[in-house]
Amino acid sequence: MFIHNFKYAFKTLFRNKMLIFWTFAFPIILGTFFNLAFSNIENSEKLKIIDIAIVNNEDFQNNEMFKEAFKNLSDEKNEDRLFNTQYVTEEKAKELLENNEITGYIILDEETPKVVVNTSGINETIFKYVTEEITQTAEIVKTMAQEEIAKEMMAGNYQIDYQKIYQNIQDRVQNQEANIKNVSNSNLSYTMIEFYTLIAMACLYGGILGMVAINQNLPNMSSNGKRVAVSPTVKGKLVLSSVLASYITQLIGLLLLFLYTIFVLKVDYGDNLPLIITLAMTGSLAGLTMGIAIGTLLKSNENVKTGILISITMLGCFLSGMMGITMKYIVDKNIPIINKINPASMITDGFYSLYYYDTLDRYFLNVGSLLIFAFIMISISYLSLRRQKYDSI
Amino acid sequence: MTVFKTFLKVLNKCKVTIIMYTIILIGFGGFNMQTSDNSTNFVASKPDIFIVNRDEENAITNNLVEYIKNNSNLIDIQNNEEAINDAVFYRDANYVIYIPKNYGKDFLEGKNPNIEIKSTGDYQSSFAEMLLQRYIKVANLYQANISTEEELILKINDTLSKETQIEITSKLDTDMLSKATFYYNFASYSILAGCVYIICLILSSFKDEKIRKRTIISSMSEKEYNRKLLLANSLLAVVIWLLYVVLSFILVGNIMYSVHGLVYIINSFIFTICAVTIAFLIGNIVNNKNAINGIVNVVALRFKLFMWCFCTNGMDTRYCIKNSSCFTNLLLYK
Repeated sequence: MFIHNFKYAFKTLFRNKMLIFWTFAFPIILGTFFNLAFSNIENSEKLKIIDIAIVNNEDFQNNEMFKEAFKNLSDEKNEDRLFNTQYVTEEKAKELLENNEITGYIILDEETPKVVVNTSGINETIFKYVTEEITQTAEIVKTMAQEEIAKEMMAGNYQIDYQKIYQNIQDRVQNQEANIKNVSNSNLSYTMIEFYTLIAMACLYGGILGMVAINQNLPNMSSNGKRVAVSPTVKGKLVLSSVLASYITQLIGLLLLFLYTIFVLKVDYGDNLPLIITLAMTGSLAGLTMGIAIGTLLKSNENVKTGILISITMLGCFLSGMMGITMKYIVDKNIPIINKINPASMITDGFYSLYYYDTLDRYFLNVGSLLIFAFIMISISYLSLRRQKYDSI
Repeated sequence: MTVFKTFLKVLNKCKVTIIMYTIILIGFGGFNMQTSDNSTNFVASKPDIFIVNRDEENAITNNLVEYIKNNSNLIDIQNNEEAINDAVFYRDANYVIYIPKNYGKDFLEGKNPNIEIKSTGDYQSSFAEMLLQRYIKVANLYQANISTEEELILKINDTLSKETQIEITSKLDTDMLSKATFYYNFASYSILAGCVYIICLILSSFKDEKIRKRTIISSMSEKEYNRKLLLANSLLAVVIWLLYVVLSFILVGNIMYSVHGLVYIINSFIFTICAVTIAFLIGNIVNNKNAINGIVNVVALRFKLFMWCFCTNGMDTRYCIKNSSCFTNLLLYK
């Protein structure tokens, strides 16, 4: 009887087009959109070469410091190139700025630079900051040279090689290195969170499968349920086989989604495949049991139950970062209890910890939380299902 | 008139959806109004930095912290590695600076001590690194020649305080303009999702077998019937559009009375026409009422993902155009 019911529950689930759309097709469609929207988004946030202009007037021509600095910062061979510089007249610079072809331009009045920009922004800030840096460096060179010359004179040396002094100081300024060591984690792609929430959504949408399967065994929900109720079979076996069929259907959907995201969309879930599979299976179990709990607890029709399940899932996904990557972080930071009881967040956080962290403490905490969640849902369903009797249906 | 009356009856049943989308729009619009801080003056961008200072009792270290504080937003997070790592991953902190113990002492002894950092690798973090490098380089240069700490700090601060004159040519209030941009970007999503959902729902009611049969045997020609339906749909869309335009005057304010505001209004009207045609097409293809929810999700989310979410948040528009060239209608709206 177990195998028989399992086989037919499996067939029934696969023939339900609405179910197949929400559990198989919708996550894949959404994943494709995510990929189209997010691919390369992080590269666009990296510092790029800034288009600027310099008014090539007499003051600029006479200012070696500015000439050299911008020549270096605009050199195509320089790895740290910052600017793409055009040397133009003031009228041309204005025209370029008006047409938004440059971020801004500099005009030198004697030794004082003036930066002209269209609006505020990070490129404009960097442009202003670099100009300030050059001015400050010129000031340092000047001060140090004066001190050096004064020292020489104090020592009684009046045959001073000014050129050499300036050159030495300039070399010292240029050779200064800040001793900074970057210890950032290399896995910093925050758009991965979107795909993790997608997996979480697929896991929780599996609840619809569990709910539909359980409805087939509830006398107050379907004709099939009435027949099951009056049949001389062990109800536990029927319920269990239906649930197992739902779980396997859900895992097939999830497998397809994983294959699609890994091989087509190139999503990085980390290197530990067994842990990824464990998390996906635990997440699916949590979703499935949530669907069963809603199916058994609520006495309304299937559409209402589906609506409630989808709403809970979407709210959970929203809080775990599906509609805005930082949402999960905001909730974690301000009201952490919400994400501690949100299964979508547990799944997302589990994948995030596998991807970002070297240790597995956080991962196992999430897997454990999902198991506890699933256990609570099963207990609720069990208490609700056992010894049900109907005076009339 | 019969067609139109029936249309209004069905529409009455969808009022909850329209109200829901409108509430979301007002919510997002209101939230956004509290977040922008641009104006007609030049406002320097400030990266979000977190400093782990393990050398708090030293003047030179405190001066470094003060310099970073003046040129960035020092954020407040828990001082533990997990919280810091999360903050970097979610871009709450663009840059984290770990100042080691005895940094100030080692620095004064000319050891050029090592500073560890964590960085998100974006524009803001690059700028944060420029700030840190600048301070250390200037301090190192002076350190070799100046013996006392106080004099060294004075000299560093004197050098780093020299600012360049900056002139901003645009007289537009970028704060207000960005609010209007945000509002109309979200309005486009609401208009599209609302039109597709409501029009599809109404058209599917008209396609009900019994109603369809009655329509076929009526004296009204098919052409007239379709024309009236399209007109009624267009009227509905115009009402939705008007609602959002009126709301924009309330939420966004004065910029809506300028030429820019007018352009936004005209732009959104043209987009509304596109939304009606998209909705009419989908409504004529789809017969199943249950499928409408999925279609609205897929169609509206597609546009939302490509345009609204990212382009408004200061993203490079060229990037959006490059990545969304196959989805032209909302792109043209942008």
